[in-house]
Amino acid sequence: MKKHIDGIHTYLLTLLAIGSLLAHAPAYSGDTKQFVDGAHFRLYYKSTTTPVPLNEIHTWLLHLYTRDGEPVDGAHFRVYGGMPAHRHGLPTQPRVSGFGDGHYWLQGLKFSMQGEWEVWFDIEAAGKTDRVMVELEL
Amino acid sequence: MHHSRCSRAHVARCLLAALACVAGVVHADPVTAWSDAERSLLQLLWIGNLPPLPPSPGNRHADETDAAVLGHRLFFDRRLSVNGEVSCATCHVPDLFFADGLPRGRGIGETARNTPGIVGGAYSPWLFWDGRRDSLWSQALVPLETAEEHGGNRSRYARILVSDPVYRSIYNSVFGGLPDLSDTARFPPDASPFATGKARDDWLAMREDDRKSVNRVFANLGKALEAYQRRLVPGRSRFDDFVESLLDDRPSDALSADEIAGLKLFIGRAKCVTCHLGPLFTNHAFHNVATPDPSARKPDYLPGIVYLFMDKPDPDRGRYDGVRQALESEFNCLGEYSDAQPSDCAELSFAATDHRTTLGAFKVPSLRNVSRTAPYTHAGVFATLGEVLDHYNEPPDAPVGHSELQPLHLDERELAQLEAFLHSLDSTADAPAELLESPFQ
Repeated sequence: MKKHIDGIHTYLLTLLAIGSLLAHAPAYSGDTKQFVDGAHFRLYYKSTTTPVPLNEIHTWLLHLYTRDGEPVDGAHFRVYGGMPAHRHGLPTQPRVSGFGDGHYWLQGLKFSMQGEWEVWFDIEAAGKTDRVMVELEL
Repeated sequence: MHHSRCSRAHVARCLLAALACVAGVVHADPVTAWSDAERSLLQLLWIGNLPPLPPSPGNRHADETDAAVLGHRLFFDRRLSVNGEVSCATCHVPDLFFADGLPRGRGIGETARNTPGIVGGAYSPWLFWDGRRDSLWSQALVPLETAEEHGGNRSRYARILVSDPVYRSIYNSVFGGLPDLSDTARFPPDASPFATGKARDDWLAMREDDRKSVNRVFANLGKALEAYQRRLVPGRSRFDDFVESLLDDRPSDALSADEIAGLKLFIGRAKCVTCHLGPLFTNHAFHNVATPDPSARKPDYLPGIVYLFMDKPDPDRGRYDGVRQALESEFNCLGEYSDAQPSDCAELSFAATDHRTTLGAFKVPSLRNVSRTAPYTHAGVFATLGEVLDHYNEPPDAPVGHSELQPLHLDERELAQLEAFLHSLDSTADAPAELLESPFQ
């Protein structure tokens, strides 16, 4: 009987897992360059260490474009985030510095636990403000 | 044909059936069967996964033998205190896994915090329960000048290094340039910025370059202590033997059935590995786990109504204050007594200071030898592992900030199994025997 219940349990769990895979794009693992769209800007991001490392300070490369595809320089970023499930923030305070043609370094990121993380970007450029979020699963 | 029945239309169903069968096998023997996910977690916890010692960029002498010899002697030297009775080993007792078995450390007086063990400390980017220092060498300097601990001051300690012929000789061969402190008008016998009264006035009256000379000797004293403490790393435990057998697919009797069940909970439903991950069973980060604050507790002798209207002490804010102290310390990674380049100091440069991350958060301690290092928490409020596990099972609200804990809903038997597992993490330090005792015996 127990085996039977376990079998149904696993069946349902597997269905749920497959369902959630279909419903959402997989969270960022660092292997590829990806983007996220805000109201005004498109932010590309790529970890320079792959996969995104656990418990190690590392750097991402960012590219910021308008929704028309023009690179945006001189943007001011505020970066924050954390693990919603554990109600804590990022263990570090990352910083963003630009180096032209819409390119920026995001330095000082660290993810100290396995699980789901969110990294939020408040972007201010050319008189416009935007907010985008990247989800990660470590 | 068998595979024709698994045609395209039925692939998903066949896959699920296969998964269900595998799950059935796993569940048939929960004690000996481990999923791939569980195996990868066990490998992360295994001591064989402990990397080589990380560099200590602030201390270019950290891995020099002579520096460790000097540090070993200093660690056990009771002259490094205001009354000649307190050494580092007074609270970091080798036979007690370099802790002291007390709720809160006791040197000259009682401190506000539990004494952490120091084995494996070289792997931690932050030291102290609140991370108020960012290296082992700068950590070592703090208790030496804290009134409740060693109670002395840097000027006095520099004089001991100059006047002791053994210390003078090793110091000069490792660091060079031990200054002449014989002019007591320029170099008062007792002086420190953290002292009170005359010793503080004397420090403030010193010339700036003389203060820096003393600071340099004091920093080097810490660097010698770091060189010694870096050599104390944890050894293999029964848990490690068990995992090694498992990874080699060999049978093992290193753990009992209850301990194995506890391990399954540890990496599973009890979610301990959320923070206690890695071969030292810690992510070296800071978390608010609602540990009780004894400073906020009502003394038994006071009626509740009186306590209600009393001025109460500020709660211990942990990392919130600790990170600010680390950033201000003249002995941090970016300071002038550090040998590091600014690019080596990422932990300090990018340290989070916001209240959401830091308020009421304390460092996640290693669990190696946890069964032998009671009492527990930053303030030593839990006498037994059972009390600790009860706290995690039914967490209270945090005394300050926001707790990250959720109830675990474990029953009595499961709590006992978890506790049994924690006993399998006992081991002696992996260090030469002579480093585990006083060099003065």
